[in-house]
Amino acid sequence: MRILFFIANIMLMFTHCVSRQELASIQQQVAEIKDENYSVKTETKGYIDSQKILKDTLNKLKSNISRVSYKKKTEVFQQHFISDSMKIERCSFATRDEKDTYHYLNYARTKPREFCEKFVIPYWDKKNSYHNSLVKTMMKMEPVNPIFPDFQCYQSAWCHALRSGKTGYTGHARNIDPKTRSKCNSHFMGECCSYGHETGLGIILQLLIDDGVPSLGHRKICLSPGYSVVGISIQPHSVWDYNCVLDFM
Amino acid sequence: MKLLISSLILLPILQGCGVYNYHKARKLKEELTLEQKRNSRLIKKRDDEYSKLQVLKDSIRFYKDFFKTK
Repeated sequence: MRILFFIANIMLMFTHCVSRQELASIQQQVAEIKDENYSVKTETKGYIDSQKILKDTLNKLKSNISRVSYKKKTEVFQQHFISDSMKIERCSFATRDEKDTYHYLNYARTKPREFCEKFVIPYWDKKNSYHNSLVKTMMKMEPVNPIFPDFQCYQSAWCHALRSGKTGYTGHARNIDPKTRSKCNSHFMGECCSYGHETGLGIILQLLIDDGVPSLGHRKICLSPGYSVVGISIQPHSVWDYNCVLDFM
Repeated sequence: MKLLISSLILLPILQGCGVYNYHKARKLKEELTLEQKRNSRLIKKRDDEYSKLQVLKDSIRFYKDFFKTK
């Protein structure tokens, strides 16, 4: 009887025991799931990295689209500007589109409210903060002095526009021409470069709206009373079809 | 009698080893449960990120098509 009781006791204690084989299988399961977790984590990280790249690409595409759609809207204003400013009309070195650009620039500077009502408000995108701030600025601002063509500024703008157009460059740096080893002159105090527009109004509106430039540098230069002369050159561009350089002095 | 005595000495030792394994196995099972939960969470996150990536790819395809038509 005592022996039976002893054996029963031992059996009861053995219910809390785990064989080495069972233990090894559990260890294997844990190792497998850890490996799987690691691989899932790596995969997720890869997806997040790809997302970052794709987001950048998407933003670039979106900005290009906004340029294209705005260009389409401004095609309405293809007609040439009729101005009484003979100083601009007599300018021998400027083309018809360049003269238009001078006129529209002066129109925005000398009659900001009228310019805004005529050209900005009809295409006012109220969801766009740049449009909103432009309307606010132009409706409140005092007229500033008109600005006239200058040959030295024009030469500087022409050279930069021509080289940028050939190389497909976007920016303000004067790069050395690989063939002639020469550099364009920098005869300006403020410079604005516009891409994708060939009409005067399109160029001026792009610079005034200044979409995607948080500092609004182009708008400030265009509407600044500190400049008296400007050189404007519109040239073909290998990437953007057209580019326009405005060198202010 | 000898068998009884030897079993009385050996059995506690064997049983001790078994109990040690039991505790170890219990800890491992807890760890396994935690890892399984983590696994399901990670898989869910991975699927979410993958679907976001697909959305981005679709958007890019859409915009590229838009440019082609221009």
